[in-house]
Parts: sequence; C-alpha cells; structure tokens
Amino acid sequence: MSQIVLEDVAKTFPDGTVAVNDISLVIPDGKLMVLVGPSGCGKTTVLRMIAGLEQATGGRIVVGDRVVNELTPRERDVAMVFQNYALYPHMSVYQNIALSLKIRHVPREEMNRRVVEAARILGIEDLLKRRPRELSGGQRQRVAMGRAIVRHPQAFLMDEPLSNLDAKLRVQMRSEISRIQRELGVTTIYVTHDQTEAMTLGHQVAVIQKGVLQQVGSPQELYRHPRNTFVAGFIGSPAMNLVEASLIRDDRGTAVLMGEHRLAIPDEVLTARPALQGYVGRKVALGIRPEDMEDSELALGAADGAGAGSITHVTVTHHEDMGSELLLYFDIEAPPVFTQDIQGLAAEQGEDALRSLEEQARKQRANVVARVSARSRARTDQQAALYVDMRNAHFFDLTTGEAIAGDTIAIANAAPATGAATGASTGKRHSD
Amino acid sequence: MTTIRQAPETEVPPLVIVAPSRRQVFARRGLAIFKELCWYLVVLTVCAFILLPVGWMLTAALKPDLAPIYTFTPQWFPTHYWHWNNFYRAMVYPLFPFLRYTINTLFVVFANIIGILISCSLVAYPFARMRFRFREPLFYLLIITMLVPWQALIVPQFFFFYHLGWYGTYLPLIIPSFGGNAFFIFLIRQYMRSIPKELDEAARVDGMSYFQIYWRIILPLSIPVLTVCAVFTFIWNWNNLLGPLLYLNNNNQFTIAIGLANMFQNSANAKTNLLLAANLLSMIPPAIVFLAIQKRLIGGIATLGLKG
Repeated sequence: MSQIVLEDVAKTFPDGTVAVNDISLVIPDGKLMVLVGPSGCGKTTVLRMIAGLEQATGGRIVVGDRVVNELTPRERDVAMVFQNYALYPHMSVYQNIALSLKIRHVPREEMNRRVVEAARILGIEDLLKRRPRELSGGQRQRVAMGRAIVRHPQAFLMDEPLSNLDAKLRVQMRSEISRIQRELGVTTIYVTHDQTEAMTLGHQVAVIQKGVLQQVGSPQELYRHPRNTFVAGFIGSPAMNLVEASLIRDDRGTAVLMGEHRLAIPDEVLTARPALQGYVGRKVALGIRPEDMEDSELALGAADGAGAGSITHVTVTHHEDMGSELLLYFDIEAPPVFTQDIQGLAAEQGEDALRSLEEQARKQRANVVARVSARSRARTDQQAALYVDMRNAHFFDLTTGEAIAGDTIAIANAAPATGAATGASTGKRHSD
Repeated sequence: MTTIRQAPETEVPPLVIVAPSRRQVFARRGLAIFKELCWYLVVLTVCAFILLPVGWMLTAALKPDLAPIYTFTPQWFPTHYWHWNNFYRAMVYPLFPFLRYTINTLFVVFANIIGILISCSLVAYPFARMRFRFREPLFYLLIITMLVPWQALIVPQFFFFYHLGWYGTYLPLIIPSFGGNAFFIFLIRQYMRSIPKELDEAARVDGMSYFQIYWRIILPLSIPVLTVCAVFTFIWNWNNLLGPLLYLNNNNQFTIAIGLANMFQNSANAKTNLLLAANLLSMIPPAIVFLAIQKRLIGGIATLGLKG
C-alpha cells in the first residue's frame, strides 16, 4: 500500500488529441480517490496511465516511492478492475482469481489460501468452480474484485466498475466496495461519471473536465465550495441553479437582482468573500442549490425575518412529489448562465436538456428548481413564497466561470514533500 | 360511509375471433407440406450428386476380381456381389502397402497441422492484438502473398530444397508449414481481433508478458478458429498429390495420395476393385475428422463468417 502522486501528467494521442492536460494529484496512502467527470473527459486515460496501459506524454507518475512512467504494467504492482470485468471466459472463477499468483510463481498452498480468503471477503466461496458465463452481473463484479484483492497490490484502480449493474445492485455493490476498501486499506482510484457514486464513495473527489483538473477535495468541500460553474453544476442532484444576476448596493444593503426578485446578501457572506465588493454594479453568476430554498411557511427563522435569507414569491410551473420532499420548478425573469461549461453539462444529460437550456437563454427566463419539505402545500400553477438561504449562495464570475472568492476555501489534499500541488492547479487562480 | 365512484362504462367493441374454415386449415397445412417436400427434394438431389459416385465405388469395390467394373449403364448400388474381403485385401496388397502409406500421410498431416497452428497463431497474434510500427503495411504485404499462385513457386522452391539436400525427405513437405500460411494468418487474426481487448489489458495488469497473454488467454479463446485451420490443413495435406510427388522418391516414404496414383497408373497389373476399395479406405480418416469435430467446425466457420 502506498501513496500515488501525479505530477503534471499529460497525455496527447498521436492524432494530436489532448486527453489529459497537466494533471497533478496526490492520493494519500490507504485513501479512496474518485475521479469524476463527464464521459470523454480523460479520467479513464489517467487511470490507464497509472496502470501502464497508456504511456504518459508528460509529467511523472509516482507509486509508493518509485517513478513508474517507464515501467511495464507488470512491474507497477497495481490491480485494475475493468468496466466490463474482463474475466477470462475459459477459466473457472478460481483460476481467474489465482492466475496472477500463478504467473508470479506463488507456492500452491499460499495461492490457495489467498484465493479462498479473497473469496471469503467477497462472499463468493461457493462460486469458485463456476465459469464466468454462469455468473450474474453482480457475481462477475465480485470475481473481478477478487482478482484485484488476491494480489495484495499497492493500489486498486477501478474503471467505472458498477456501470454495468442495475440501479439496486449498484447501490449494494457501492457500499460493498467502500467496505472492502476500508477493510483492506488499499490506496484506491475509482473512476466514474456518476457524481452520486463519487460523493458517496470517495474520501477525496477530483473533478475533471476536458482533460483538465477542475477541483479536488472532500465531497463536502466540492459541494459547499465549488471553484467554478462547472463543478457547481456537476456536483449535486438536482443540479445547482445558475442564473445571471446583477449585484447592487442600495440603502437596504447589498443584494442580487434577478428580474423582480431581490435577494439580500447577508454581511457574513460579504465578509467571507471580499472580492464580491468589486462586482457591485456588475452582473455575476448566482448559484443557489435547490436544497437551500424552502417553503417560507416551513423555514426556520423565515417567518419573523430573523433568518439570513430572503423571501421571494414565485409561480410554480411544475412540481414533483418525491414522497420525502417536493421539487418545485418555476421560471424567473433572468437568463440562465450559458457558458460553454454549462452547455456541456446540459448536453451530457441529453439533447432535451440542452435544448431546454438554449430555450431558456433565448427567452431570458431561467428555469429554477427548489427542493422543499414534503409538507409544503405549494403545487403546480400556484403561488409560493420561498425562503432562500443566501448564506449558502455561490457567486461566480460570468466571463471566467470562476468562483468569486477571497474566501477561505480550504486547499485540501495539499501537496506533501513531493510538491505536487493537488487542487492548486485551479487554486492558484483563486488565491488573489 | 364513503362511496367509491366508478368510472362510467365506455362501450368496448366485442372481441371477435374468426376461426379459419376447415378448407383454409387444410390449404395452409398442404402448402407447408409441399414446401417441405420441395426442400427435401433439393437436398436429396445435391446429396445424390455427392453420394452416387461413392456408391459406384462401393459397388465396384465389392465385386470379385473378374467381374466387369466399367459397365454400361453404371451400377450405382451394390449388386449381388458382397466381397467385403476386398477391403482387407487392399490393405495387405503387396503393390500397395496401405498401412505404411497411411502412417506416412498421418505423419505429414500432423506435422503440418502443428506447424500451421504454431506459426500462424504466433504471427496473427501481434497483427491482431499489438500496436507496432508498420503493422498495417506488413499485414497487407502478407495478404498480397496470397495472390502468388503456388504453381509459380514450384520450380524455384524445388531447386531451393534440392540444394539444401532435402530432396527425398519429408522436410520440404513439413518445414514450409512452420513458416506460416497467409490465408490462415488472416483467418486467425480476424478471429483474435474479436476477442475483447480488455482481456489483454487485464492480463497485462495481472503481470503477464505478451507471450503469456498469447499462450494463456488468446490461444485458448481461439480454439474455434484453430480447429477450422487444423481441419483445412488436414484435408489439404491428406489429398496433396503434387508436393509428395515432387519431393519423395522412395516407395517407403510415399503418402496415400501418391500410392493411389501409382496404383492407378499401374492398373494393368492392379485390380480395379482393390484400387477402389483402397480409395474408399483412404476417405475414412478425413470423414472421421469431419464427423468428430463437426459441431465445433460449424461453430468456428459461423463465427468467422466463412463458408466452407
């Protein structure tokens, strides 16, 4: 088990495509790092470069205390779990798990003991004689894990290992992977495009877009302090509402204006984000998470105005009753943030989502979603008074998409002795 | 008390199932039988084309030495002669050491199969699974060699082997197979390309060398295509007349194909019924091979999209 360090790792394919652009990351010993991003963002390439299946065209990859760039996969001593499991179809489960040990000439008894132990950890002891084709998806997944576990490698690399499973099994296997990783304490890099998976599994999450590392941090850090509109829009479900708003200061204080909606910005927010003062009189991208809005009747501190939020009145165009909560959709007289990042995110969700965003931008009316208590009586076509908790509001520069900060975003995962600046690749730009 | 309001009943048109009349049923069944009959007729005709000459051979082979063989009209099915003994006689006929020829042929055939399977799979593997410079041009070059007819190579090849001192040995018949065969390399490469590449990658991460991946993963998964190649090699070499005729000069080394040809050329001395019995006997091993691996062969050919 060992720490993995990526220093300015890059990959340019022979046809000139830049898949990975100077990524620096530190995965501490025994931790699980999730690489997340939309499909084609280069996260799998990063994983394959660590495994040695792709040659990095720039930077250094350090596993433990060795620079592994020039080593073969065999010499790197890392185990990989593939998306389609890649089980050898002509071998039994036992042979599949034992093969890597056999190659390394591990004595028979030791091999047997380790295979049985791996099978016990995964609960597949009774499947050892079967062939992969006789197994269900979940069982195959376990065998693939077994093949990685049995080697006692320095690190596990997992490439979307749950994407071929149905939703229920995926949740189950997710906690299983988390448990096994905790039990074994092996440094793990887990690639997924599913942000829920990333948030629930990772000690640390690295968000990648178009080969560029956007932000690294704990799931909470990414959720609470996204560095740019891409991370803001990518992390969280439903996604953060991102709307163009004017920042004004009048006799009632500093506030954002979106059409007729005026949301006052509490002083604590202004103190935490001194750079915001420079944006007064200009337009900013305002980000509000659906869960930071609540039916004003049910919001604590809303009724007497003692809370740090504002109340705004909207007409619900559509509601979804989720049982435990209520999603209220409404339009506001302000354009949605329409940067390339946001368009890319919408395109990722499907053509309809992209078309809807384009429509909103054209009409200059953003569609906003609020996640309120199931006890709320707000319904489709009704007026609703929403309490917006502005303490959790996010502000981004409209042109760069970067968070307007000067705040205290913890630079998590800071580089140790090796000097690889995790998160600092984007952090640099915020520090001023 | 709450009352449950039912939705007003809407009129649903009654579902009418019209049963076909007896006549229609008969007509349909008759048509199906007719189609099947036609199909069988076609199959039987094709079978007849293949089997009638064999029937004629069997008929002649079962005749006594002095009975006329080349009759008009030809006798397709065994007549009143049932001399099964002729098969035994053919095997021990002094002019035709059948057992010796069979052993020689089997030796050449199996040596060729081993050569073809080793060389072609070894060459096809990097073409199918590895990335290297000039891979595609090299492969096309290989394919182009398929365009050179074998006959064009006979003379230079003969001189080549002759000067190596291989004339009169089995080496010219066996060694070339260890140099590969463009057609089989092409077949095996196509098949190997269909194996998911993640298997190689998993194996590489598991710590295998390229040769270990070939030996432990790719080769076992390529058994269907290797079977096809083995069967083709078997049949080609079993029936190969020209090669042995060129390079072998000793009766003890002859293969069945030359043996039969010699016997036919000397048919003034040989007995035709025994010649035909020997011919029939020589057909048995390929037939057994075919029957034994018929399922696997058809599977392999189907996967390759290859018509036999």
